[in-house]
Parts: sequence; structure tokens; C-alpha cells
Amino acid sequence: MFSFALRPVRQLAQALLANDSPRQVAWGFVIGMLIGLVPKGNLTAILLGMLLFGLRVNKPAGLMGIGVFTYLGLFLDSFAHRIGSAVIASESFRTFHAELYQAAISPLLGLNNTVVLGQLLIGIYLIYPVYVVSYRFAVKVQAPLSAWLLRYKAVRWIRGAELGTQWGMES
Amino acid sequence: MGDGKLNFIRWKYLVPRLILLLACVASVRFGLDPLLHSLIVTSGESTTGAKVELASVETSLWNGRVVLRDLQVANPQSLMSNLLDAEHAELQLDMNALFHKRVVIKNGEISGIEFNTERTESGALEIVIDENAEPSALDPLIAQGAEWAGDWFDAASERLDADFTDQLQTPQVARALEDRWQGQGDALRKRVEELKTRGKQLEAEFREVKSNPLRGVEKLPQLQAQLKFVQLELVSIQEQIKKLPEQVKADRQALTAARKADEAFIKEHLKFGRLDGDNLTQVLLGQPVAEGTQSAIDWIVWARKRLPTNSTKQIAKQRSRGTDVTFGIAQPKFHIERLGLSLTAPISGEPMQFVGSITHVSDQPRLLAEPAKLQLMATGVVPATLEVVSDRRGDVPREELFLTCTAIPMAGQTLGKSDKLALELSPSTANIRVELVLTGDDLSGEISFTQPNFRVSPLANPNSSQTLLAALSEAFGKIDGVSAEIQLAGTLKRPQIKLTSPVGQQLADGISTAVINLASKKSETMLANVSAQMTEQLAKLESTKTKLQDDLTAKLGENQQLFESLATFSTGDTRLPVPQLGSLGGSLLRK
Repeated sequence: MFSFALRPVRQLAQALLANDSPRQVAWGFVIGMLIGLVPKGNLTAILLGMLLFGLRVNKPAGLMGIGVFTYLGLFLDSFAHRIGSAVIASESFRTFHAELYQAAISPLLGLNNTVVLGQLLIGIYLIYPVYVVSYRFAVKVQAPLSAWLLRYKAVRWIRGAELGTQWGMES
Repeated sequence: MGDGKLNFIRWKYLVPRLILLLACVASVRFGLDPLLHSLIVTSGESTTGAKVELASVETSLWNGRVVLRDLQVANPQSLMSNLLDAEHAELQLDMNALFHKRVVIKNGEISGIEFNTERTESGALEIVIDENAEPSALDPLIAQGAEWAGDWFDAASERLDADFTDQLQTPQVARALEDRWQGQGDALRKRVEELKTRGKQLEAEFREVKSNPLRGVEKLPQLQAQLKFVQLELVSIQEQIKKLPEQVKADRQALTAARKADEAFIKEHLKFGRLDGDNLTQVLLGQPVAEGTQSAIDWIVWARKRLPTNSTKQIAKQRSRGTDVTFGIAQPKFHIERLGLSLTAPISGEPMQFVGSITHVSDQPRLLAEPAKLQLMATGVVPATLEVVSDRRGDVPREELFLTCTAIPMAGQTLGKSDKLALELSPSTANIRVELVLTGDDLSGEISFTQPNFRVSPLANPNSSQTLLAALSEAFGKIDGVSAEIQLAGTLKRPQIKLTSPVGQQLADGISTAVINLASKKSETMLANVSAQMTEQLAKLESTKTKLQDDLTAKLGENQQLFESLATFSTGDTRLPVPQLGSLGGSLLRK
């Protein structure tokens, strides 16, 4: 119970102090960004969630990405709607979208929704810059920050608790 | 596992979830049937308010096929019977539409549908008593018509059966005259007898005076005075006899006046207005028509409460973020493209086999190009076609019902109250055509009804007049067919029915004519009796008068000699003239 209550704090510490490489942190954050941007309640969001948890990426970074970009995504809705509408309505993709819709793929994935498609495209567009930025951030910040944080007993204790949890020592 | 090329995959996370996914697929495969069973039963019970039972459900997601067996929907109004009983239903689902979160029944067959079948146990979920149930809006119309016709027949029966001879004047006047003549004759005879006795007495006294004049001188004036009195009495009787013819004349006038009064009385008493054909039509056909129409309207109201009313709201209910593009025309969430039906329904108590289909039923009819349509056809002994169109694509819902049915067996029935007018309709067959349109709440339509072998006969009860029953039977015997046109108007809550049929007028004419003829015959018979009584009385009066006159004249003639001799006994100034009976008789005879 106590461990459950501390989980958010532990995960934040884990994101910064884990032994994951900067690439894993960056990919975790990128996938979290995609999940955060895309409206939930469709198969796309579920598949992205499965990617986050099924791939060896930094989960806490992904969760942070979800939190940050879910909030930012709300402000991008109108822009995403315009992009989604333009892509769906474009002559080039219309047949493709219609086939996806008739095959019941796009309704399940939510890709016939203008905002879902728009946010997904925005997210795809942002993959590279976000990856680069988060990678560099991880490279630059992860090691010094880890050293700095481990000076504190509380952080060490939290990390110990996290390791204990991972090793099955949770009471 | 983690050391290969796929080491970027977190198998520890993925494998349990894949297993979970497979378990879910297996659960759906094996748990879908019970789930669907539960869904159908629950939703059916919430819709009807009564028990819904289903023997089995078999689904095949690969083929999109759903098979239901032995579906029973209890009737909430009749707990021990089923509203609907379907033996077998096979539905072909559009699986592609299902992935679009839409339920589309592309094709299907429901067979063995029966209505009002018996249940072995009660179908009640809870007993709901409709406290707001009101009598049918059509009831007062029928009641008024039946009451009016019943009163008319009561009045006719009472007046035709009534014996009002005692109220006639002629017999009373005749009896009074007879009594008076009897008394008058007796009185005159008595006076003549007394006159004769007195005359003989005077004769004896005069003879005594004549035999001894000296002793009788003193008595003579007294005798002469008595003789004068007797002679005055004689004159009085003679005058009364002279007046007898005048009295006869006056009595004849009195009898004639009484007869005229009786004639007027009989005519007034046996005068009947004609029976209103429209009212009679209401009595004969109003009840079954109103019941049938009210039943149809109740079903429409029931169905309307359960059909989607405003699909615009449902269409407007989109996800909060973005717009779902449907790449074409928007499709409803639930859509039955075609469903074949094979059912047994009772028509006039006879089970009939119907085959047909229901098409384009949807929860969002606004999105469909075609209105919902139910078509049923019976090709047995009673050919019938039924088409119901429900168009809810516009702002105002519109329902149309077309029904044609020939040779419907009509069970015999009794109409009206047994203590008033009751009519018995014999079993026969009827043809019916119904066109009913419901736009919003406005009702309009027409029902045509023909019954070629229609037989109606009056039902006897202890209060019935046999003569009236005979007249009615004769009148009804001329009716060999019924046709009726029913115009429907008003609203669902206050439907108005205008029933027009020549049968009411035909019957009314027949009955009115029969009753009026009956009254006329009775009137003529009574008048003939009165006239006969008057003639008989007049003859009797004449006879009485003649006999009395002859009798009195004869008796007075016998005394003629006596009075003449009495006159000779009188001397000097005291001698009185004796009235000549011969002249009296002559004058009497002249009358």
C-alpha cells in the first residue's frame, strides 16, 4: 500500500536514475508524446500504449510524455482538425481512406476522425525533433542529475524501494 | 528471448498480454452466446415490461450468423399468454458494419411467429395498473346511438301492445245513452200506468156521482179538478213522446262526435316517427368498428412510444474532439435491411398463415433512403395483404397502413341490450379495406367494409312485443348485405369516426314502415270497432225509441175511450177537451 502510494515519485526518480540508455529514454518520451497527442478511445491509442509498455523503452519518460502532450494536445485540436480534414479530403488519399474505412480498419483505429488523424500526423512530424531533443536532454542531464540526486538519503531510499519492488521485496 | 534480434521487445510484458488477448478472444467465442441471450432477454423485458424467454442463441462471428430458438415474449396485459412466440429466427449480420460499431441485419428469416399463445406460467415481471386508463373516446357515440334506438323500440313496443279501448269515448257515450233511454222509457211507462190507474179510479168515482147526483154534487168539483190534473199529465206525456225523435237526433250527433274524437285519439296515439338510419347504423356496426379502430390506434400508440422519435439529436451526438468522416452517406447504428416473416395470426378467431417481410427498420430512420415497411400476405382461405409504412425521416413522423382482406369469417354475435333492443347477427364472411394515415398526431383514413351474406334477426325477450318482433323479422329479412364506409379523423388521443352505411337506413326504413303499417292496421281495426259500436248503438236507440213510442201510444190508445167517457161525465164549463191520440200517433209516425 505504501509502495503503491510512492509509485509516482519512484517512477519519476526511475526515469532519471534508471539504467536505461538515453535512446530508451528518448524513445519512451516520443511514444508517450504520440499517446498524449492522440485522443483516447480508439485502437491507435491502445496500440501506442502497447508499444510503450511492450518495447524496451523508458516507461517513466513515456508517462511523462503522455502527461505533457495530453495537455498540449488540447490546444492543438483545432489545428489538428484542419490537418486531418485536409488529408482525409485530399484527392490523393481519399480512395485510400475510403478503402480503410470500408475495411473497418480506420473506424477501429479512429483514423476517420479528423482530430485523431491530425494529432497522429502532428505526432509523427514531431517524432524526430522530439527524439533528438529528448535524447540530448537525457545525455546531458541524466548522469549529473543522477549523481546529484543520489546524494540525498530520500532519493536513495526511494531508489532502494524501487529496486526492492523490482526484486519482489514489496510487502 | 531477450538476447536475439528482437531484444528491443519487452517479452515479459508482451507475452502475458498476448495470452490475455487470446483468453479474451476465447471468452468472446464461447461467451458471446450467453451474453447475447442475456442482452436480448434484458432489453426485451425492459421494452415490454413482461417476461422474455429464449431457449437458445447460436452465433457464428465468422459467418455473421445469429440463430435464435423459441423466443417467447409475455403479454403484460394478459399474464398467462404470450404477446409473441417465435419458433426460429435466423439473422445474417453485416460483419463489416459491426466493425463500424453498427448492427446491420442484411437478411433474416423469422418463422413460426404466433400471437396470444398460452403460457404455462405467468409472464409478469411486475403488475402495472394503468390508473389513467380512460374509456374509449368512441364509447359515448355508440352508447348514445344504442340508447336512442333502444328507447325508440321500447316506445313502439309499448304503444303497439297497449289496449286503450277504455280511453275511447264512443263506447262510454253509447253506454250512457243506453242507460238514459232505459231509465227514460221506464219512467214514461210508469207514468202511463199511473195515468191509466188514476183514470179508472176517476171513472168509478164519476159513475158513483152520476148514480147519486144529489150526494155527489159536492164531490163533483173535486173530481173535475182531478180530471183536469190527469188531462194535464196526459198532455205532458204526449209532449215527451213528441220530443223522442229530437232526442234521438241529438244522441246520434253525440255519438258521431265521440267517434270523431276517438278517431283523432287513435291516430295520435299510434303515430310513429321514422327511425333514424344513422343511429341504427351506429347500433349495428358502431361497436365492432370502434373496438377494432381503437385497438389499432392503441397498437400504433404503443409502437410509437418505442420507436425513435428524434433522430436528429442522435446524429448530432458526435465525439467531442473532431469529426468522424464516414466516406459517404451516414449510416444508422442499427439497421434491419430485410427480415422475412412467417407468422400465424388470428383473424376473427381463425388462425391465418402470413408470409412477408419487414424492411429498413432503423434507430436513425433519418439516415435511410427508404421508410420502414412491413408487408404481409396471406394466401389461404382468407386472402389478405397488409402493408405498414413508417416514415420517420422528416420532422413529422408519418405512418400509413393499408389492409385488404376478403372473405374474413365473421363470428355470429349479439348486439345491444337484451332488455331493450337486441339483435343477433348470424355468422358470415366480410371484405375489408383499410387505409389509415397518421401524420404527427393527426389521424385520417377510410375503412370500407362489405358483408355480402349479412343476416340479422331480432332477439326475443319476455318484454318483447310479438307483433313487433314479427314486423322486425320481416323488415330484417329484406336485408341481405351490408356495406359501410368509415371515415377516420381527429387525433390519436381523440379519434373521430364517421360511420356511413346504407344498412342503417335500409333497416330503419324497413322497421319504420313495418311499425307504421302495424300501427295503421291497429288504428283501422280500432276505428272499425268504434264505428260498429256506434252503428249498433244508433240502431239500438232507434229500436228503443220506436218500441217505446209504440208501447206508449198503444197504452195511451187503450185509455182513449176512458178519457172520452170521463169527459162526458163532466158537465157545463168544466168539460175539458180530450187530446186526440190519433193526431199524436200521426205526428210521431211522421218523425
